[in-house]
Amino acid sequence: MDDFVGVNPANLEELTKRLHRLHEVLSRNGPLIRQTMQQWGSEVGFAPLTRLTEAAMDDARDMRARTARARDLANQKGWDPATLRPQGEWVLTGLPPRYLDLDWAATGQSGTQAVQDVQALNDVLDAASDGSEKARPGVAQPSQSARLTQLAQRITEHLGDKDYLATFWAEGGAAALRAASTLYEGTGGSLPSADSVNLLQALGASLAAASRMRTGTGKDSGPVLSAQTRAAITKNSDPWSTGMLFKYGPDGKSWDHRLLAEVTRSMLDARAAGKTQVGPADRALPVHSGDQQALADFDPVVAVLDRAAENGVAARHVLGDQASGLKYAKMLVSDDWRTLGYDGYSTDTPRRGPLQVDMSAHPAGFIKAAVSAERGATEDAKESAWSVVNIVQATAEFAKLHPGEVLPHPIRQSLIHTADRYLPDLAASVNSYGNEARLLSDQPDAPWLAYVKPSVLKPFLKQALHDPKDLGSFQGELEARISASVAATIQSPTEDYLAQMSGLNGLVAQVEKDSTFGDAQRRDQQAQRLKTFLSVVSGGYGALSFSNAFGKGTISQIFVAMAQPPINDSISTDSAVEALKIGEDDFRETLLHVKIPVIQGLVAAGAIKLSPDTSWYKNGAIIPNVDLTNWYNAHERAVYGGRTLQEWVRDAEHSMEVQR
Amino acid sequence: MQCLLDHDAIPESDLKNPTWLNGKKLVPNLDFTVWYNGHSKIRYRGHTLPEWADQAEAAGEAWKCPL
Repeated sequence: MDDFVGVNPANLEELTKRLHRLHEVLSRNGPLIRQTMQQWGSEVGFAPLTRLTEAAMDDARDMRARTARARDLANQKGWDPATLRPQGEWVLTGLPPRYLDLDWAATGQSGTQAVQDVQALNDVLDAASDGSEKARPGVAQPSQSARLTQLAQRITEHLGDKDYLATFWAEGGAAALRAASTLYEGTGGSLPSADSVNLLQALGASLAAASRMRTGTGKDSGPVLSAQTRAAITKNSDPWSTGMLFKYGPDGKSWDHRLLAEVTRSMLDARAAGKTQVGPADRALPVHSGDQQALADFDPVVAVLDRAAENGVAARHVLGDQASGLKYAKMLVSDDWRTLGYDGYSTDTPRRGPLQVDMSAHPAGFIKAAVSAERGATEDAKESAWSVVNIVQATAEFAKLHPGEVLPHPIRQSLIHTADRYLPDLAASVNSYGNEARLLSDQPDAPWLAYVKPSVLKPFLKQALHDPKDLGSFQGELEARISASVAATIQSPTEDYLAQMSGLNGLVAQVEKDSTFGDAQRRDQQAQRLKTFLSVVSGGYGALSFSNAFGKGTISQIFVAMAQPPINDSISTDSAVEALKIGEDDFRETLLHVKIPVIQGLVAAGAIKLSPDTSWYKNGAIIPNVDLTNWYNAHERAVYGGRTLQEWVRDAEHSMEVQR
Repeated sequence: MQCLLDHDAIPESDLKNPTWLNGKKLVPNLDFTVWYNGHSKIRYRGHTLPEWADQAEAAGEAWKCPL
């Protein structure tokens, strides 16, 4: 190394301060300068300003590392940092200035700074676990709180810095992974303190950034996080600490999906083994604590589930795995996602109390994410389809093991979401002889399909549609989707989706028959069925535009269309349609029931061409009126897409079993 | 299905040596499901596969292969 430079620590410190100020000014005023100049029509390019601001931060950062190194060197020699002469020596003015030899390039390197910060991390953790702040003799130490904040700040300055991240996590990974437990202040204090939260946020952001980064190019390319570091994260003996890095870390999209999937698996395994208490193992928050909300808020498993769900792909890795997906699906589709509860007086023996906190919204969000890939032939779509296969089986398994019990409401909602998105698959599954994801056909655009046996599909639907209103809205959607089935059947040369829907409708009818709803519930169910049907039908079928019939992509379009729309309550029923909302019998007659979706489907598929001034059709939605009735009567025998209008209606009625 | 197979009602070109056929005997598996769904619009001896299945289901035990 010939990069040694003579420096004076005190001067360096001044330089560092000025660079910090420069960065601060630039980053504070940069946007304003830019805005003002643009307002005045300046044609000066401002990209350099951003780069300058970033460079100023890097320079300040590097200079601070050099200052720290120079101070250390001076301390080692017992010199005063300002004069670089032995401490206590008389300083005579006029003496030539002295300098320290500092390896300028090396101290500016990220790796060196990472090592410094790892040391600082170890120091604050040691201080926290000692419970006292050890003051180094002769050196004024900032308070623990200030050190936590400074360290957090430094870590955050290096989020885009590969060399730093690689060194920091290789050297400091173990310390970072026990940070939460070490900083934990027990049941009395806040959990954890605000300063600790700063540090945990910084560590989480740093780990997320490192997880997505690769070093080198081509053959030498490898992840920034070494296999050992990754293993340390997933095989961590302190799941709570690990979980807190995810809780306080950034949104799931900022993490590497593979790492998130691995951590999710290890968390679920740890939970199954009873190792996911809140807090460090020896000082954990008791499960029968009076503060049940804290048990839910600081649950490490839930923290990781949320990040994986936000990520999406990670959730699909976990549940869409052919080998292990079912195992984890069974853990998620469960009624044990709640805290134990607190009975008001017993804090000694764990006893199930009434003040339980329901956490099932978290696994429910995870399940939704796992089935929400875009339909198609991609690897992601494949994992999504496999997730469906595993979730349906897991639900059937739950029903078998807990006869008479019902899954928590959020989980049931996630099952309905699954059924909605994979409605054509479930319809095709009614005569399925296997539980498996398959490509629909050997066509290039054929989407991945989830097949499940009827023996698991039925208990799945029974759990999902347990609530009369949910059953009603699912039935309403099935009916509304006749239009999609009609359109799809026209588009597809070999498959009769209408016939497949018939089978699924039969299964749902069986679920309805088995249900033990009271009269009021049955009225709710019927009202919801009607309301849903009307809102979907009158809301139009935007998704049903087959841009290129029979062309590449049509099959995928069909599946997207048929799995649309997962309607929500926000769709308001139009007042014109509201007026038609009269008893079930009248509804069948007045609204022509299946005729509307059949016509809608035929129009969407391009089989019926309407003149633009048609009074009963606007923007994909049908407005039932007298003109529609007249039109229908006049066209009953016309042939569209290979069948007469009458035949289509009969087939649809048959498929929905409404001909009785 | 077995009825149709027994009477060679399904042309060889539609079958192409499937995994769910052992000679002429139907051994249902997922390939069969996929094949069945993919041929549900084609008429064999005048009826589509779902129509055949509906007839058999409606008749229940009493159903006999009409071919």
